[in-house]
Amino acid sequence: MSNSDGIITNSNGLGYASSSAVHPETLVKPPAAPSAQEDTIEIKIEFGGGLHLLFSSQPSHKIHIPRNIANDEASDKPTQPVNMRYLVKWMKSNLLSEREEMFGDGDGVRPGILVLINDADWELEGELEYELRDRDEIVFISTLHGG
Amino acid sequence: MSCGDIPDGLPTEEQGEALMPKKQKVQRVDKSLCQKCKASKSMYIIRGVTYCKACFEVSVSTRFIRTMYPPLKASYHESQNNTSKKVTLNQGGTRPFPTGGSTIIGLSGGSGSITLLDLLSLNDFIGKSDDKMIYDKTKGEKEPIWKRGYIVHVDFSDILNNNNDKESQDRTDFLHSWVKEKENGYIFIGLKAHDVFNPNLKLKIQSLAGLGEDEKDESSQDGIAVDLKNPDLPLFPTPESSSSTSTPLEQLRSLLASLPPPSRPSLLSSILNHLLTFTSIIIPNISHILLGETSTRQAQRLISGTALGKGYTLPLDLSITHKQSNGITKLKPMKDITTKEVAIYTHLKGLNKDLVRNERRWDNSGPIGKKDSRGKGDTKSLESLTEQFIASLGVTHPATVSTINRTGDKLTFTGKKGQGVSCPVCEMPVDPNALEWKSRTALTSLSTKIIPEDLVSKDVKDEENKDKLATLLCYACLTTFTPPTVVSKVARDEVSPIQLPYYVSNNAQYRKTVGREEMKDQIKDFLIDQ
Repeated sequence: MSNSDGIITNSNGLGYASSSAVHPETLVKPPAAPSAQEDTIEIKIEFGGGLHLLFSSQPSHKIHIPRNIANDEASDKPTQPVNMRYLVKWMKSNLLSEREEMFGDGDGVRPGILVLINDADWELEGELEYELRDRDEIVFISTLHGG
Repeated sequence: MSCGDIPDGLPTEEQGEALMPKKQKVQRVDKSLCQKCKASKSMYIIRGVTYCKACFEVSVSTRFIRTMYPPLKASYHESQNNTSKKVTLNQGGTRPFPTGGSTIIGLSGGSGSITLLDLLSLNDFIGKSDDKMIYDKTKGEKEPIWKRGYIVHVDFSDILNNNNDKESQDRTDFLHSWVKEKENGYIFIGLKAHDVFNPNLKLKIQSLAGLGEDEKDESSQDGIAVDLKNPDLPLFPTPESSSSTSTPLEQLRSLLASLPPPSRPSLLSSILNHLLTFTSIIIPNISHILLGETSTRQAQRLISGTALGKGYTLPLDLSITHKQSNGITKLKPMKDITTKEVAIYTHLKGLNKDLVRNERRWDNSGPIGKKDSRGKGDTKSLESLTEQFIASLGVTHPATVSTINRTGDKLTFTGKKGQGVSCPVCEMPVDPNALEWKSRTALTSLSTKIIPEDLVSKDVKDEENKDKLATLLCYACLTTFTPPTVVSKVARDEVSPIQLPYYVSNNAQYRKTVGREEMKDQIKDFLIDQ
């Protein structure tokens, strides 16, 4: 530790100002999006396999949903980050133009509809409990033939 | 006791020591890591196994080739007359054997068939010309398996109910331009469902395929009409001159309107099958018909087929290969791949947004009466009900589809291949006892009912002269065409025959001549030569 001009620096001899091994997660952060401080996040929704016909025939939607939502279960925090469960409910009430039973099944989506979150299977991300982040891409693909 | 035997039947705490302590189940599998390469993050989970993107594509491609390899190897050895060489149908090999013929690929526009075409093109399985297989080994090109590919797409949009114009669009041109982009010398043949009523279908196919057209067949295409209200399904010949007032589309629509909604998908399925088979006969040198049927669809067909009475021909329908009587083999290379996997595959290739349309919407073909829509969620037929059942079961039991298929694979066809007659509608072998069973289970008439005399004499005389379709059909098609049980007396009296497709009338005629020849065969020893 050298003391010069009143600034204390930790030098490990390699030129780094501070030891990177101490708090690695604080050094690598996702780039702060312009909307990082706002209350809403942007989600890109895409439909495949003909599912867009239920959503005003638009295959691609960019929506804004609140970053935090009211916490349903009794917990110490009043709000929780928005999750897929909220998104599905939101879509049913705002985007779905017809025939709700073809998309939703109770809280979740109808069996036969494949959901990909950032190109990954939602089963590996926690399905309805997955917490959405800003600029996530959700793809809904229908695999049903309808007879 | 030392052997662990518990005589009382209930283990007590002291006796618990005799049993081995139960091991804690260790979760050996880390679901966040790909189980194949163990290096990348897992993106997809199929049947409990996690894959990263690259391993997923490799897995689909490998299974595709592996399914195709044994049947093509067998037919290759057959064609080489290597009967002395023992053909081991083991799975394996990196590239199937060439067949020396061309192939027809059924493209419905759903994920399965699009993936099939994509994989065939990627692996260079299909050549670019009918003549010598042109491939340049120095440039790394491999010998194609089929000389040329003919893509057949049958469009059903004209008969679907148009709630929204965009929903049931004719996608033929769209698919045609996509196929053209592949630049693999594919010939695209776009047909319509109502072409089964088109007397010039052969010419149409020949012109679309770029083949020389035969002269217009002057032998009349006599149509045939059936009275669907009579359980015997009497046939009325309609000579060509009189039947030209309605268009093929109108004829198909009236046929669909006369059937109850649950029966329509199976009729449309027979029509689709016939168009594919017919095209394969018209185009020369076709050795295989490739279909993109996935394992999920197969499980649905197995269960719905059993429910519809198609059990007799199911083993033929479900096998990977089905060699038909005309020598052309139906091949289903996607049999091992689920619909979820093909959906992910087409998504990864960026084809989902514009190209792929999975829904066939055959439930919505033809007019729907108020009392017809009994099922929830738009289900009107057994096929869609089965599909929903399997999909919902697959959520809690991921092994559903593979279990169903494994059971289905155990079915064997009991009829004699190559012999026996075919049903005029679905063109599959007929179980000889179908009508007998049907008459034993259904109530067609009450013998005690008093029928007015004049009605009897007229009906009996007419019926003796009419051919009956009911005796020619297989059990499943007989069920499709069975009239509703309650037919008002007024409706029954008026005979309003519905036009049937040309191929049905041709097949029915053929059955009549075969029947006569069979009878002649039986009595030939007793005939005196004149």
